[in-house]
Amino acid sequence: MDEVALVQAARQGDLDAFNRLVLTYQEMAFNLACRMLNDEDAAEDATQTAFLSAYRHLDGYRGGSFRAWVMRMVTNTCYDELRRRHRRPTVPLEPVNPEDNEEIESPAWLADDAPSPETTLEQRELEHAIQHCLEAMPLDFRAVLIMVDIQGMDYIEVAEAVRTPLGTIKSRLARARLRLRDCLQKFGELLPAAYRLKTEETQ
Amino acid sequence: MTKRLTSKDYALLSAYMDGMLSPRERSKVEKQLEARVEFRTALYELQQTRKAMRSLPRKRVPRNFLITPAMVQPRRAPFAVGALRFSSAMAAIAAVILTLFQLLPSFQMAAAPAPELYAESTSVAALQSPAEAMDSAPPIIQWGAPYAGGMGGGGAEGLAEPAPLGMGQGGVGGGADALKEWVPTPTEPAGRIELQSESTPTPYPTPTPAPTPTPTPTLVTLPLDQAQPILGVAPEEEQGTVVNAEPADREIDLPPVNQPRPGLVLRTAAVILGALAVIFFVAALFLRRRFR
Repeated sequence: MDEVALVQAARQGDLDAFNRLVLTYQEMAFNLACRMLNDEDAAEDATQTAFLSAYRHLDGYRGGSFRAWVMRMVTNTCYDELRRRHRRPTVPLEPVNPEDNEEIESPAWLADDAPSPETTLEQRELEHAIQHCLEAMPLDFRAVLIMVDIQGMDYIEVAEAVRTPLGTIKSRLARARLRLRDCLQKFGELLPAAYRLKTEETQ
Repeated sequence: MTKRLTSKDYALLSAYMDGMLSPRERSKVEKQLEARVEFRTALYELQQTRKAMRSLPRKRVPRNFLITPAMVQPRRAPFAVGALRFSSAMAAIAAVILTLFQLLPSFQMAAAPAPELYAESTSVAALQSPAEAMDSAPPIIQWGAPYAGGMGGGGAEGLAEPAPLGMGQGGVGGGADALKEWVPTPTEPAGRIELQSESTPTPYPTPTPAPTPTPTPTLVTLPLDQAQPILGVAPEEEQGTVVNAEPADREIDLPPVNQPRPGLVLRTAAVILGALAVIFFVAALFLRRRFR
């Protein structure tokens, strides 16, 4: 059964048909939520909520890429969660300097001292650094960057998912990449050599 | 010499990297890449950034996110929501009925019985014994008296002393009506005026309670042997003085204030019911959203 037929069946109340679509896209949805929220538990809740919302609002699907439509549900759920967090802030993830009570901006605290294989450690550091940079990014930029560079979606799908013109997606993505580049440059030597931005030519 | 790249250059490079440019734009970017080192550097940095992003491991889902029938079963709103919605609807209907009822002509007639009765009684009294009425309790014509409303425009003076509630509204038809009676006879000297007034019923009774007619004889009569300016424009030496002023200690008969007026009561009830309808509706909406 193809995707369109599954959507049609789900619209008529066939829950099994919808669950087949869920199984197809749940990993992508969960990863998007994870990168957006930087919290696996919250991402789990957001993914479930997004699929439930998608099922309840299947009438709002007007054709096109179903994947993009589902990702829109996930993105919107993440936006809601982030807004809720903003309204009710919790303890910051970053450590606080006891002297001036300010958050420590240096990425040095991200370095993990726990013994582990070198590659794993480097990969974790890179992931921490990227996640740190993503969190500092505006939500619209973050969503576009994750969808294109992590999820591998094309521009048209992303434009559908965030309901934004294609030209805006292009410029938003470029600006998001620049921000990420600038942010990652602060980590310098902490990043694996393969991902360092400065080359001999640029230095 | 190197120039800083603009945001448009970066947008082109970013799209070029993803293969999202038209052939014309692509060739334009490639020319720039050949010619300018800063273009090459920027492209390299963007590629490294994308490479870093793409290197992130994909997370495995901790569980399946299947939808169960229990999940999609609509949650029942609590009983309070239904009760509030019903109350809201009832209150709104009652408010509408009350408002419509007030618009009925029969209700409007019933809502203002006192002024009509007062007008009828005074006119009957005038018809029965006009002369006696003139002698004993002639109606008052006051130009600029405290009860200014509707008396033909003695407003400025009248406003100086606030008229009692409802007293200034009924009036006797304004100055035009009073002037009809002021017709100087041809034999009289110029400017001589004899005021004749007759009690006239209020043509459009207001719903305010009727003031009890006071038998105070305060007929305004201008001296007949002197030429006086018309309508209270006194000679210069008399300007600024109060002519036919009421005694300071005169008691004003106020209308009884504790009598309930049916129009006001119904209007208040309609407003209260309308407010209740809105409050119940908002409360029901709030509860429903919480339990969605």
